[in-house]
Amino acid sequence: MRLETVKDLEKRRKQAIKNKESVPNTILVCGGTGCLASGSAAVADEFSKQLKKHGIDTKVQLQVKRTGCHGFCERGPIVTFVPSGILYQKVKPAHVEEIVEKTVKNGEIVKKLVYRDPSTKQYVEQYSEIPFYKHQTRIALRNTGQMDPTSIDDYLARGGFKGLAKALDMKPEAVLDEIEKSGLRGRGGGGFPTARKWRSAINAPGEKKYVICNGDGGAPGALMDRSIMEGDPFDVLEGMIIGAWAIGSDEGYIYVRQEYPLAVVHLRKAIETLREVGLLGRNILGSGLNFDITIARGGGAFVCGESSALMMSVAGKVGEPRAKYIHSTERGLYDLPTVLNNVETWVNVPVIIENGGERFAQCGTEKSKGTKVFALIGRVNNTGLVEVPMGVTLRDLIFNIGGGIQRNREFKAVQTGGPSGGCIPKELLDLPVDFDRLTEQGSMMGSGGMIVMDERTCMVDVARYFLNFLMEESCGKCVPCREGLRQLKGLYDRIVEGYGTMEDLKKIEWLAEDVRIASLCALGKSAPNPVLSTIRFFRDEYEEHINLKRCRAGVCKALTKLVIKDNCIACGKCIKVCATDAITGEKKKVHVLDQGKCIVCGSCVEICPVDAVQVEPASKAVEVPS
Amino acid sequence: MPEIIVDGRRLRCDEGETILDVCGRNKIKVPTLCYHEAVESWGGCRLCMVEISHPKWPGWKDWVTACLYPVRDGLVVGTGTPRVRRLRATVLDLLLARCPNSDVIRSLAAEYGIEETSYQPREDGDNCILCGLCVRVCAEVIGANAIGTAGRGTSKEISEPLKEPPADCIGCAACAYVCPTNVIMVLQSRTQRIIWDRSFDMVVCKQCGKSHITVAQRDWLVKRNDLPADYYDLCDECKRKVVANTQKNLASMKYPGEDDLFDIDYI
Amino acid sequence: MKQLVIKPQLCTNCHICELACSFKHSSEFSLAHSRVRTIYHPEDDLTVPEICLQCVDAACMKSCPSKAIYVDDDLGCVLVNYSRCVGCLSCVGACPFGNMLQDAGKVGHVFKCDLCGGDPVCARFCPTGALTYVEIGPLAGRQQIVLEEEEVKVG
Repeated sequence: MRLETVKDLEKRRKQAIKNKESVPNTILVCGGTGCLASGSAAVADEFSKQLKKHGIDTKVQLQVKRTGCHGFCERGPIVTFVPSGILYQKVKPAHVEEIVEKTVKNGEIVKKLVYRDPSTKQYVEQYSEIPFYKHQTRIALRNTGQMDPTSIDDYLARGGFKGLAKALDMKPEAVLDEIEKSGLRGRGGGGFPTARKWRSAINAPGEKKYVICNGDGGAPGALMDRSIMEGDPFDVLEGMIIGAWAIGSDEGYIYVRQEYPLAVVHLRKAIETLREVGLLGRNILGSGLNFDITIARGGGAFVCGESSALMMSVAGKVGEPRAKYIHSTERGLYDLPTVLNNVETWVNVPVIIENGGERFAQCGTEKSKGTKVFALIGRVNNTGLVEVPMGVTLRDLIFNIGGGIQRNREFKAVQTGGPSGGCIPKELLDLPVDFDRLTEQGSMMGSGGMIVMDERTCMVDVARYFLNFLMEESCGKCVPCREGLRQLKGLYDRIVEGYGTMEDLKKIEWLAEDVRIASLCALGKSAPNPVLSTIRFFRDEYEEHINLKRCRAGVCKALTKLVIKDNCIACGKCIKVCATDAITGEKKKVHVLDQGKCIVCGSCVEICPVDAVQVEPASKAVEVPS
Repeated sequence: MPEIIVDGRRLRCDEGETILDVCGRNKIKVPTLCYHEAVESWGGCRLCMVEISHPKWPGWKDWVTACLYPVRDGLVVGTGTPRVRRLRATVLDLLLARCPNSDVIRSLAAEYGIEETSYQPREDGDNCILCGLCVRVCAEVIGANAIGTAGRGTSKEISEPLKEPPADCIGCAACAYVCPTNVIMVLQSRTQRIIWDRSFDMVVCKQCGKSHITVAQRDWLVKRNDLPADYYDLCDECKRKVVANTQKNLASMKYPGEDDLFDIDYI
Repeated sequence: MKQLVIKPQLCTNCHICELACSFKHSSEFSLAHSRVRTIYHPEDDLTVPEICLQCVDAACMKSCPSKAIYVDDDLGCVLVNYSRCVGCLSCVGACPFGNMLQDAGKVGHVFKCDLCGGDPVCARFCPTGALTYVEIGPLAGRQQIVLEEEEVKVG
C-alpha cells in the first residue's frame, strides 16, 4: 500500500509501533558480516528451533530478529535481549538451548556468555553498562544492531522517516539552512562542509543533478560504511531523498564496493520496499519530488572510493580520478552537477532535519560538529565499531572504550585514517580527535580507522605495508603516484631486508614530499602520510634498521631471530602453532627452536603465555658508515 | 576578461582558458608530455606543473597542472620556480627509471639536471610512459576506441581489448604518430600495414600502385565524409599528373587563327 | 590580397621554384620536400607547376578528424596546425588535386604550400614569371570557372 501523504506514513508508523509493542520480548542476533563469519546465522536458526521446541510462540511472546552489525565484532556472535538489555557474547549454537531454558524461560543469566572486563575482571550483564558501549553516543549507528535491517516497519517504529516527512514540508533552502547550522562535514575522509557542497551544486547551472552515496569505503579495517549499509539501509536512503529534495535532483546512485554483497542485498531490498510504498519514485509523499536510486557496484578498486574515479566507474569508464580544479558539484557524473557524500554523512542528515541543525551542533568541537564512527582495531582489547562525539581524546578511545592494550603491553602508536593517515605516538595521546587536530600532526581522521599498535609493531613495516597497499591500488594515471610509490616501496624493501642506507632514507623523504605535491588525486597526495609521520615520530627505528640492522619490534624477518628463553614452561602451545615444525620439545624441558626452519612469523611469540619467546637481532649489530 | 600574471608578465585571458592555453598564446614555454591540442587535457604526466598563488589569499601557494587549471582574474603563476623545477626533475627522474632506454626521456631529464636516474631502473620494460595519448586520440579524434588501458597501477599498460587484435582499429597509425616516445610499432609494406598485431590491406593507387592509407581507413573516410567510393583510387602524385594534364591541355589550346597560346592564368 | 599566379606556358622546367621552396622549409635542396611540383609533358614540351590552390571550401580541411587544418583569412591560405595534427594522412587522399604532401622521412607528417607566410619564395625566384605573387582583382573569379569546367577525371 502506497504512502501518499505524511498522514499515511504516520498511520503506518503507529501500526508498526503497536505491532512491536504487542510482542513483549525480542532476541536480537547480530547478523553483521563479522558475526556472520563467526557463525551467527546458525545461532539464529538454533534459536528458532529451540524456541519452537520449548513451545514459545515467536509471533506473540518473543521475536527473534537478525540485525545489522552491533559493532563489538571481536566478541561475536552477539545476542542481545529486549527489554532486559542483557548481552551475551561469543554465542555458539550449542549454547542456545541453555539460553532458552535459563534466560528466556526463567530470567537467569548464563555466566559464561556474559562480557567480562579484561582489566577489572568484572562481569557486566547489561549491554549499556559495558564500557565499550557505555561511552558511545550512537547517532549514525542509532539503528544498527537494534532492528531487522530489511524491515521498514522496524525502521518506522524506531522513528525512521520523521526527518523526511519534515524535510518535504520545508522549502529546499530551509533544509539546506539546517544542514549549514549543523556544521556537518563529510565523514568519508575529506571533511568538506556538507552544506557548502550542496550549495554549489544548487548554484551550478542546469536542471539535471545527481546525488551519489559513496559506499566504497575501502581502507583496510574501515568497516563503518559496510555496517551502516548492511544494518540500517533505510537510513541511507532517507538521507539521500532529503538531499535530493534540497538540491533538486531526480536521480541517485549508491556505489557499493564489490566486496560488500550483504550490503547490496539489504540496500536492494530497502529500495524495492521504498518503491512499493512510494517513498521512492514519483511525487514522494505528495511533495512533487521525483527521485529514484540505483545501486552501482564497484569492481574491486580502492581508488574508486575517490569521488571523481567513482563517477567514472558509475559511468562505465575506467576508474581514474581527474583533477578537481573544477569541482564535481559543477561537473561530476556525466559532466553534470553532482553531490557525492559518504554513507555516514548521509545517515546524519535525517537526524539533523528531525531535531534541527542547532541541536546537532551542540555535540562535538568548534569546527567538527556531531559524532564520528571509528573502527577501533589492532592490539586493543575491545575491537569493533564505536561512535563518539568529536573531541574525544585518543586516550579515551583507546583506553576507556577500547579497554587498553592486549596482554597489558605498552601502547606504541595509533594509525588513524587508514592508508592516507599517519601514526600518532604516545606523547600525543591526549589529542582530541576531530577533522583538524590530527591533520595538524601529519595524520588525518580519514574515514575513522584507528589501528592500535604495541611494541610488537615495527613502524618501518607499517609504512611499508601501507605503501604496498597504495601502490597496488593506485590507478596508474599519474607518474608521481604510479612510479613514485613503486620506488618508495623499493627503498623500504631495502631497509627492511637489511640493505638500507641513510642515503635511502634521505631519498625516501625527498621523494615523499614530491609525491605529495605532484600527485593527481588524494590517494597519491596522502600516500606520504604514513611514511613521513613514522619518520617524524619514530626516526630512531629507521636508523636502527639501517645502521644496526636491527628491528626492535621483531617484525622484519631478515633482521630478526626468535629465541626461546629459559622461563619456558614447556606447555607445547608454540609447537602446536608453528607452521614449519621448527619447535621441538618435551614436557618439563625448555623447548628448542630450529633457526633453519623458522620463518619468523611470530605466532609462537603471540601464543606463549609467559612471553618466553623473545625477538633478537638476526646478526650482530654492525656499524655502517652512513 | 580575466588577467593573470605569469613570471611577472601581465597577460589577458579568455574565460575558460587554462594556464597552458595562455602560456602557449604568449610563447611561454611549459614542458608537456601527455598534452596534445587535438584531445582533452588529461593531467597524467604532471610535467606541466606550475606554482600558483593569489593576492586574495596571502600565504597560500599551490602546484597545479597548467594544462587543466582554469584561469581566474589575478592569479599569479610561476613556471620556473625552484620548487617547480624540482617537481619536474622528480617526474623526469621517475620516468627515466621507468624507461631508461628512451632517448626522448633521457634528453628531457638532462634539461633538468638528471643524467642518470636516482631510482631503481625498470628492467625489460618498453619506452611507454603511459601518457595515454594513443588511447585518447583513437577515442576522441578518430572515434574508433580501438585501444585502451589494461591493468591498474604499476601493471597498467596500453593494450588492445582482451589483448586481441582490435576489431575497431582502422589502421590509421595516428596512435603511433602522437606517441612521444615512439613505442607503437607499425610495419609497412606497399600493400600491407601491420599495427597492434592486425594486418591491414593498403589502398593501392590504380595508376602507379603506391599506397598511403589502409582500406579500413578509406572506408571510414568515405562513410564519415560522404564521399564517392572511388575517391581515394589515385595517389596524390597521380592526381597531380591528371591535373597537370588538364592544365597542359588548356595551356596548349590555341585561338583559332592565332599562333600564340592562350594566356591562361592559374591562380 | 595577393595570390600566386601560375602561367604554365612560361615554365622552362628549371626546378628553381622547387629548390627554393624546399630550402626555405627544410634547409635542404630536395625536390621531395618542395611544396610546388613541376610536371613535364614531353609530348607538348610543356611543364606545369602544381601547387596548393588554397581552396575556398578545402576538401583537406573537411576531411581532417582533429580539425587541424584551418584558413588564415588575411593571407588567403589553408594551413596545417601541427599541434593538432595526429598524422592520420586523411587529408593526403582528400585533396582532389594531390597537393597535400607526405614526408617520406617521418611517417604521418604532412606538408603543403603555406605561401611562405606572405612572400612565396617560388615566385620570388622564378626566372621566367611562370610563378608570380601579385594583387589579383578582376581575375579572381576565373580560376574557379576554369576548374569547374574541367573535372579531374580518374583513370
